[in-house]
Amino acid sequence: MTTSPAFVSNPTVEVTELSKWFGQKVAVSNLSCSFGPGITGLLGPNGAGKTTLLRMLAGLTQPSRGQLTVLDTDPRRDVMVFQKVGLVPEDDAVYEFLTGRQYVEYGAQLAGVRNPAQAATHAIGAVGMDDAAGRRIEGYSKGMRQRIKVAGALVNDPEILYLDEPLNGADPLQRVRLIELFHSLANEGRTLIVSSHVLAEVEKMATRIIAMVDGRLAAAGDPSAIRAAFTDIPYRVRIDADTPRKLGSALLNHSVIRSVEVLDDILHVQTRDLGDLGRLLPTLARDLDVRLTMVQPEDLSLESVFRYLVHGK
Amino acid sequence: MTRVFAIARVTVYGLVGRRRSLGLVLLGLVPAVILTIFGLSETDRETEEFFRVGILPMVLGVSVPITALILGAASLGDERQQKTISYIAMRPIRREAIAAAKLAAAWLSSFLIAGFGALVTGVVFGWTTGSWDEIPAFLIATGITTLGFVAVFQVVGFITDRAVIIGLGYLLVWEGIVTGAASQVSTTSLWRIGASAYAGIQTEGLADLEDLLSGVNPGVWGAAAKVVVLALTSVAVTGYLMRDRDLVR
Repeated sequence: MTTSPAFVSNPTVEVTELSKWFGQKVAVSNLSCSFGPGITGLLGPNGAGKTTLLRMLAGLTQPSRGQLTVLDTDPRRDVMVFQKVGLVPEDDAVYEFLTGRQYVEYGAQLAGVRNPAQAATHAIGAVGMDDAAGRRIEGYSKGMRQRIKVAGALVNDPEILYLDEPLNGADPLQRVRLIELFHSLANEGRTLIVSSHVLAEVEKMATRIIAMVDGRLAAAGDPSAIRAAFTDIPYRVRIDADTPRKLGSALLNHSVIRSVEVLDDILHVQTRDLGDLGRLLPTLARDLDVRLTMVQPEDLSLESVFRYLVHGK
Repeated sequence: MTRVFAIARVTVYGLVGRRRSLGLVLLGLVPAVILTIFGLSETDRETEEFFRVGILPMVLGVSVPITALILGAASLGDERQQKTISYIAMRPIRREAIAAAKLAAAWLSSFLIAGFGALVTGVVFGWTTGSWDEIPAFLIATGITTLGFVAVFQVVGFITDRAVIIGLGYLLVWEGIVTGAASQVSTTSLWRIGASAYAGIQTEGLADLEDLLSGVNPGVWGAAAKVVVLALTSVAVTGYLMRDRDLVR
């Protein structure tokens, strides 16, 4: 099992053939992977099933099929495992009528922490919210809400931490501080699973990435392997020119071009290297006396990239 | 136990500290206003009779159940809709303990609000008739009725986002029409169970209540036992649902 990059040798969280569907909609499909100490990035476009997976791992959602264990326990059956687990949900799931301190202290009381006030002070300090902790959460900005949610999840000193889009709404400085905090938690041997739809964001945090699309495992490995897989994807580019067929024929003679198609007098080309194409086009257009009016990459959304990884198209 | 108290305390704070509570307090004061107007123009005997056949069902059958519906359905329903339920569910606490804490909080919040209206109504009754000994029975009946309705509506609030509409339909059709028309099912009427507690304590004027009770035997202990069984069932069912169903939608 550990030979596949989707699995780790010392797992704390294991998922086996896990599926979840809501009526006709499949949110997670036959997913098998594992997570261990360190930061694992859960990467995928919106609707990939990341949040549903985290909710199942958190015991908040019942799997439709398959198995999962958290510290060798089914979180739906043994609530004691939550002494060692924390969640920062993507939703704005905070009690607006409480102050930040009350919110975090409430979490400590629920977790059965020996000294809730002290634990709350420590967790609030860790996310840099000391100054605002006495204010009601209803007056917090999005970034402050994110940070107080992180404090609420940290207050019981969890071994495993699920973070669903934790940097949403945080300003650049806050992002740096939160990433530093996540790194320090990982360095202490904790398991952090961080979901995001931004590759660059995950690359800054994670030492390992699980990429998902349409509820399925799209790729797994270290960030450099995932980045390499991304750059190997052919890009589709739209080129508007006064003589598209002439330009298309000439482009076909260059290895950087994978395919050429003219539809309604608009040239569409596929290339594996946008940079090379960008350098080739002006030269070729000048030599052929072709006038370019627009050059625009098509289908460059993260969804399309992930879809290519899964379906190869 | 600390965890249960913590959940109950924050839930009461969340339920009572909101704007909707003001509307429920005003609703609870409507019977007092009506009784004041009636008492000023009628004799003591007529006021006493009106209190038992008019005000008592208005409090136990309308203001108490509506308050219990709004707050009972919100105790877990709000947490589910606002997704804050993950904050309490992802803690080492048994689901039944969460359900019990929520039920206790919803009952206390509802009783604080509906009980305040009942107390004011009782004071108006005492002031207009000079008879103050109805107040304890009235408050006990309010507490018992509140617990019964909260127990039902907490489960409904957990299951569906449309708990208020479903609850109002239940109050109108079942509690308002069916159990009044068919004596075979009148013993399942929660507000009549509450009224039977009142009749068990306040034996004076019992004849006025016979039609209202519609076959439910007077008795405070019997009424209390029924709603306690209902509350325990509610906790067990909610605990089961929390394990069996998705906690966030």
